[in-house]
Amino acid sequence: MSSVLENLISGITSGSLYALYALGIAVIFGIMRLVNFAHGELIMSGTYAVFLAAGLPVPLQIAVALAAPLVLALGMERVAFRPIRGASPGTLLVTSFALSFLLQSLATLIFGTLPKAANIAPALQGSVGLLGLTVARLDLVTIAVTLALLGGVGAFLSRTRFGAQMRASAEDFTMARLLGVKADRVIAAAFAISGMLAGIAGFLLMAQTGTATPTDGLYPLLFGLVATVVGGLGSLWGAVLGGYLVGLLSTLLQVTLPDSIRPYHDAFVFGAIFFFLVFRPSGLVVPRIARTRV
Amino acid sequence: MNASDRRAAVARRLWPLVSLLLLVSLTTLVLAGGSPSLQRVLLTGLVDLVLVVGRYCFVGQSGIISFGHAAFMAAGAYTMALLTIPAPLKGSLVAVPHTVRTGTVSPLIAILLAGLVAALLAAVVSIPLMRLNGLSAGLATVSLLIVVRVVSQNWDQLTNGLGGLYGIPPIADPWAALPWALGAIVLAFAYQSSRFGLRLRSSRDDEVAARSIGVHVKLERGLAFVVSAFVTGVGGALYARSVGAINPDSFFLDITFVVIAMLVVGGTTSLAGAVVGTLALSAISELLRQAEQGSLLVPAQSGVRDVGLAVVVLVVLLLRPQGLTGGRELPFPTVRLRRRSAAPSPPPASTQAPS
Amino acid sequence: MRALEVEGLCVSYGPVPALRDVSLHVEQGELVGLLGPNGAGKSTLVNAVCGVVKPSAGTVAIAGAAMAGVSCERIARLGVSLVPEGRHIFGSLTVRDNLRLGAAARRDGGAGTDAAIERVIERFPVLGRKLDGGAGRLSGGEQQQLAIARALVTDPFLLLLDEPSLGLAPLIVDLVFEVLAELRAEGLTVLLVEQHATRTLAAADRSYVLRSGNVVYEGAGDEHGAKEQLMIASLGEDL
Repeated sequence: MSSVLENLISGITSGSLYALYALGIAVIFGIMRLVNFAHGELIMSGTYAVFLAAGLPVPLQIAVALAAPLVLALGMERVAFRPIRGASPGTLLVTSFALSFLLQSLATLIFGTLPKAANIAPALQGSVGLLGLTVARLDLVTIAVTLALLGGVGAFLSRTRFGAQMRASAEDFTMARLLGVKADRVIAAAFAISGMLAGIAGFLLMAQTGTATPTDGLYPLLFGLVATVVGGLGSLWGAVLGGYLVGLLSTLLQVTLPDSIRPYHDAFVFGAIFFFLVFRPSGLVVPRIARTRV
Repeated sequence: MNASDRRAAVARRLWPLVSLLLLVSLTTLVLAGGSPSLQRVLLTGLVDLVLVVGRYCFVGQSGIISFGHAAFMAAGAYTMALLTIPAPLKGSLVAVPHTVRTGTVSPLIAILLAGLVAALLAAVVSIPLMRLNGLSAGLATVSLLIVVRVVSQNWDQLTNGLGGLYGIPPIADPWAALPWALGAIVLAFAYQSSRFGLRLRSSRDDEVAARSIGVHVKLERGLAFVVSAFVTGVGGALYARSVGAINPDSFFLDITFVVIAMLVVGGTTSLAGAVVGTLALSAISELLRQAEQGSLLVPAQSGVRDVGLAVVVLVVLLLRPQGLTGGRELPFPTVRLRRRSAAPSPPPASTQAPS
Repeated sequence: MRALEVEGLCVSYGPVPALRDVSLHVEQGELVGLLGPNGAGKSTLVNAVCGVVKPSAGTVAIAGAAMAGVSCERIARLGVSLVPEGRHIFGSLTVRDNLRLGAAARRDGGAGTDAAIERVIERFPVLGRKLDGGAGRLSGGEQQQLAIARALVTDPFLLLLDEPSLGLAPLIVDLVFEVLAELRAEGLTVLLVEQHATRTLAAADRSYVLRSGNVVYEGAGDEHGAKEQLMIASLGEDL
């Protein structure tokens, strides 16, 4: 029983990370209908930022982990995405893909392909006894931080006036603009939130793996994308829900697959995703606008 | 229509094909006499051409971007490897059928079989896949790629896992790859000119309208997917031959980006775009590589090249998103075929009252 | 100075022309009707005025100021409010939040928002009862009222409505025209796009008839020419 609970916590931890990835992607997609493939590189920039700040006290590390992706996110919005704002979905998609590749290659150029190791936040390592279970401290921190972040973003979106502007923009951007909502500001805010989420995710990822590599962003991006689609494109809470579900699925498979097949774990996860997409392409949460009565 | 009119019409219809065949053949002719490294570049370029044309068959016709085509490249490459590696080198791969493990097949047959295996994989996958649109379809193809990658990384008895396969009889001569490149162009042209291609393109522009005139969108997409996979599989087989040794990493991000980049820079919606894009980016890639070596830059081999390519693609996307060819085929040279002896056409009917 | 002056406006969607050399004007305090069959270009015109679509030729001037190259959110902030066809309320927000969104375009920077919301609730009492409910759950008629109310919260000086009576029950249509009459009496300038010709002609000071992207009639509603042009426009040339 205890191992089931421990695995559940493990699954929720994974789910929390995936929810962070997914929300970062969904925030931008909701408003601009743009899938930002470079979101993975925002996370990667977070891991490298933490690596570079390895000697500093933890609060500063976190600040750096937040700052680098934030600046990068705002930069990419200004330089790469603003000029193509009205373009076709295909062009947007390929542009973000090219941007992602560019950033990965830059990281390879600057840091090399080998992982950079650093021992960060030793206080977060190790396990803790909790209600008779053995739980990794980092897992608890991840879950707590994610819930706090999700709560914060949720409160911002639902309680503040600017948050309402963002939600309105996500639902019907043109109408929001017709009511005077400033497009540039809303989009910049979306990228800022996305960057911040990526930064925290990067920090947690670095704390977990202890290394930074140029391809750090790839699997977070894929899992984030998958979670977003599973949850239902266009729905922020769907993305979060999708993240937790994919996280739990991944852990479930990890635990239940027999040893001989376990190396194929990723194949099973993505295979399951494939079939989910085929049978429920609109995702779990159909955005409420689709249910509006005419 | 008299005979010369008919000839002109046929010429006009075939020009897009002929122009590309000429372009590729001439390029090969010019470069094949060069240094060994130039020949290497040409060979790589021709292999890339097959891959890009293969991708075009699906993406250009259906408008759905596939990020998972490297899976078909892998299928083709591994098939090629398993069929042509000498028996002593593949004895340990117990998952491979006995006849394949103990013998080899001629390269020609191996390449065709590679294409068929890839096509078969595509056929199976397309049954569920073609129901999807846009982003979901793109993600589903990524899922496919990851599944293939994980399998190739772990199923040691079939693929030798992370170690990869080596000992594939190599080719270094670009002329060996040229027929395949030309064949791929011919196949792509034949497909896009056929009524299948036409029907699929109609769904690309307006899916609902296409369905309403009876186009069976799912089937057409599936057909394009299979054709595309066949060509991509052939490309994978050629790739295997050109490098002699393959491993799972060859069929993941890098090649996916390169192919998409070539297609986008050339122009996603025309066959000429696929060809022109490949030629252009191969040239730029080589220039970047040489610049990299000739300067004092320290970084790893592919570092600057990758960054440069990505920058080129981004610039094209920002400034000319429809690509170098603008999504059109190469222009027909009207000067040559204008008939000089034709009778003057009657003057336009006058709308003025006679004075 | 005219509230709205459109001169020689041409708009195309790709190769398809939607508006050809259209000129019209609206004086301050007027209620002007814009009529015509489907596809005549009425929505295109209104969208062009608000900056949603870019014209290929011609000018739009609001309160005398040229609007070339001005973004639609800036035009909104200048006091131009559009109630577009199809309502476009934000279903995932509450009714109250929908109304509050109008604050962004107010020229007083949002200070008078709450008072404005009070006033629109008086005009549309049903909204007052459902303030904290999701806007997506309102009926069609209620959503249309919300759309108009929201536009009024922005405190516009020029209000454009694109087919507000579409798909509405007659009682609600009555309410809409009542409110329009009140607004006109209060001095608001209104451009009303409608297919509901009779009521519009009756309510408006002047009307234009649009057909295939051209203005084919301009004049007061009770003139014979208006109805004739409308019939021709709707039923075809050979009548």
